[in-house]
Amino acid sequence: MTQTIRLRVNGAVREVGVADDELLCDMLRQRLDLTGTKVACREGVCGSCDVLYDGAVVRSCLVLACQADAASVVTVEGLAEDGCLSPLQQAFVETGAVQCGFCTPGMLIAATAALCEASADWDDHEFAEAIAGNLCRCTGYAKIIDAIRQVVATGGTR
Amino acid sequence: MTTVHQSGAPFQVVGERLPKVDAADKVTGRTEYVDDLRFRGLLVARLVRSWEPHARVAAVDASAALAVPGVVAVLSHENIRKIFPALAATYDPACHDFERVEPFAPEPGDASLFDGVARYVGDPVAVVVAETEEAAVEAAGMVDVRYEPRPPVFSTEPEPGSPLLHEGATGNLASSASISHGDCDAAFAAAAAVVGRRFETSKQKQAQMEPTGCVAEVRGGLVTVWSPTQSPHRARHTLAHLFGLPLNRVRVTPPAIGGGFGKGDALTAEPYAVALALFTGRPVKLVYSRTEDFVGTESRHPTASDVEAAFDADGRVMALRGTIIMDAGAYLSHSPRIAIVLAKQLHEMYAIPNVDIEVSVRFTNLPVSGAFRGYGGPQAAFIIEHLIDLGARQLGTDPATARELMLGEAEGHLGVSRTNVIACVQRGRAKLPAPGPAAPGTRRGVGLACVNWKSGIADKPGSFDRSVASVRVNEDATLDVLSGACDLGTGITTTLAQIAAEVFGLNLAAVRVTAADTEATPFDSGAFSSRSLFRAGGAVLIAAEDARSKVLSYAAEVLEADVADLEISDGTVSVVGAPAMSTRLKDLLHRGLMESRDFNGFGDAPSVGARSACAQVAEVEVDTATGQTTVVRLVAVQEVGRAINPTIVEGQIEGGVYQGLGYALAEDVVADKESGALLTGTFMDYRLLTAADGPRIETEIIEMPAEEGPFGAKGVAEPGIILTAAAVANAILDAVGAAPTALPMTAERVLAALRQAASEPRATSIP
Repeated sequence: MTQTIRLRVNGAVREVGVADDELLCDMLRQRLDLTGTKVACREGVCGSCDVLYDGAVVRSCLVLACQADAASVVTVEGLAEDGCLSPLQQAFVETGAVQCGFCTPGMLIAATAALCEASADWDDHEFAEAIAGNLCRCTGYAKIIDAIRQVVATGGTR
Repeated sequence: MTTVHQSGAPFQVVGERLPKVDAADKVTGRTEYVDDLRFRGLLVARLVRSWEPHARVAAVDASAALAVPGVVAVLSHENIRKIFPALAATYDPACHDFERVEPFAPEPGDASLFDGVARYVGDPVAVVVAETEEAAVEAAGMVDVRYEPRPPVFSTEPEPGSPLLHEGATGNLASSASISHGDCDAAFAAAAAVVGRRFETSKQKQAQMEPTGCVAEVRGGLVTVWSPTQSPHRARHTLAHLFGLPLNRVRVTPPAIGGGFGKGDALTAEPYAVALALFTGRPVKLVYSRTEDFVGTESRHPTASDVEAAFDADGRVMALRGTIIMDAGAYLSHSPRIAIVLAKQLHEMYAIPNVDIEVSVRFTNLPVSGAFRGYGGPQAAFIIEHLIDLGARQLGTDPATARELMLGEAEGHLGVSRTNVIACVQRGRAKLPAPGPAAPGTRRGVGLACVNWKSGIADKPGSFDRSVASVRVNEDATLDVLSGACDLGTGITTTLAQIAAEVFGLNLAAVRVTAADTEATPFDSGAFSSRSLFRAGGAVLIAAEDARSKVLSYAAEVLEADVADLEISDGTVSVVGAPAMSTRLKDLLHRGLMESRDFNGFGDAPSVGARSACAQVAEVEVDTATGQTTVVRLVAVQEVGRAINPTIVEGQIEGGVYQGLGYALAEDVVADKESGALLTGTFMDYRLLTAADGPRIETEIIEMPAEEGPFGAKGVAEPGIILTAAAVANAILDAVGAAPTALPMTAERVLAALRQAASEPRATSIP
């Protein structure tokens, strides 16, 4: 069975026909061609498919597409504005926070949400806790934390 | 946080912390990995995997599967095994010094594309291809496979009468290596101390974030495979042989690669996808689920070793003897080579004078062990580096001092300097000399370990290890660099661009690197053994210098000057000391184009080796009531020759050490002892460390340029992961007087060690 949902994706209103059992990550990747959202485990553990869903971080592999009717979803493709990288994206590039890049979209989504709470006087462990829901196998997380701290220190916001 | 000890050479681009050339695409979601590629008419494949650990596949009934709407074909040993003989997935021309006189002659234990026998739970027995993923998944579950079970082998202990996994492999022995020199008996008899232990290391999974997969397509007589392989040219060679095709009819090209760590150094999904693309005439995608990635791609070899060391009164290891048993899993893969590397890493660096070591690799009905960053190094380091600390503890000497003593005396042994290892040890000790204050109910300790590690494999006579590159000079003074190097996320593409830019005095934006597409790029053995920067970087340097010398000899004609007096800087070629005699590089190149001058450069890296070094110091806090161990600090000092991009180098060290920390504390692929089925087939069961599970890795880079490497650079990728478990074990030993000799060092194991230490405060030897 399929149904048509209406939602906002990266600021634009979209109408999408989806199967009843279709996952949000698959709808984004296959129907909307937003392949920036990565699927590394498909069971909600790794965070690579994280998207902002009405402002909160969710695993898009744990949400049915049909549940997203009337929701507002932001994927990694929606973080840059007018072709300009967000401060966090820019910091990821500059600090070397990106290696293979497969966790990067989810990590950026989680970090973008964390900027709301983060404070410049957080220690390493507090920054680490903010991204502890996202697995990265390449970096050891050090430069990812550096990137987030750099944005927080310069007063950057989401 | 990080210090780079600069060796002081004047460079413009080399040594700069430039952002990676592919990072902007990666942070915006534009980068395409295998599963992101789009094809018209794409079919989706799904493997049918055995639930029996060991069985003859008596019959495969695909009738119900073929009735699922959208299913195109089902292949199994009943219809394709004649076409596809031994899967030579392990054929490895880059390493054939260790084995295989006839590269493609099958050896006992080679994997096959369906040979009618299932050898582990998860071994592919058929493959379904369909119009949609849903249809493929549904049909894969409906393929009716009839098994005739055989008794499984789950133990690496040789047992008389065990069923054989492979005909021709006597007693399930996959491979063996033995090293024997000196007089061990005499050395043990004369020892000031003898320490022996049983060491057990775990089955660590690469667990790269991108699930394994590929797409294969046949068009215009060309088979193209998009695969995150670490060795496109070797993959092409093997696939061409497997399907009876000439090399120029097979193209292997990695899209963006979501991590490798050795996993991509063997074929996995590729042969199935190519078979199906040839069979159907349509593009075929085969992407593994995470669980399939755990079960169906190779892991680090688990080992069980009984090793003892004899020490003199200063803590030198005078003799080492024992047996090491490695679990190969169901197929041969890299096992023979890893056994040799493990054995060498045990004794070569310290030049231990008396050695009797026997390594055997045994087949079991479990998922396959193979290449993983470090390639035998972590297992060896866990044994030898911990034995050194146990010996020193028994003798009351300082273990780091004993290391420096042995390394100093081993200087030049086998043609390798130890000065870089000693430098790393000394800096490591200085950065973390003693533990900080322990919280109530805990104890703290520090532990050190060190290693030297080869860049590439060409330091062994007769080994084949090749990287070729070309540099095209465009008439607008930009460069196209063509290299077979594979960027798994390591940043090699950026580093190669920096090398070429430096040679031409250009900025990074003027250089574009095309890496690893067998249709476009020259031969490269692949991304393994810390070789890409050292070897492919060497080839790019030579190619760029070749191109530069062609440009300069033309400039010498045009400017009527001596070549030796010319320099290129800021896009201008000029005579040194006479700036009026100059030409813009792009004007020169444009004129050269009109005059049919060729400026293309070619580089073939000479077959040479070098060794980088690393020392790690861990500080742990152990809760004496629970055994819970927190690694408080982890310092990694690495000697890299030259840090062409220090940010990239640090990232390699930090990531490697963090993987090593997971090996030390948490990671193990576990199979059910009765069924052989994986118990850790997901990220819920197989625990990767999160950002909150470890300290920030403190890195320090030392530069001791190697004349063999580009601008002195050596390999960086592997030393980090090799030492961490040993350093943590030594820190636990320092904290509580004993440490687990089994990985991972869980709280339970630490507590057991702690209790044992309480009952017998001094380490004792095995009777």
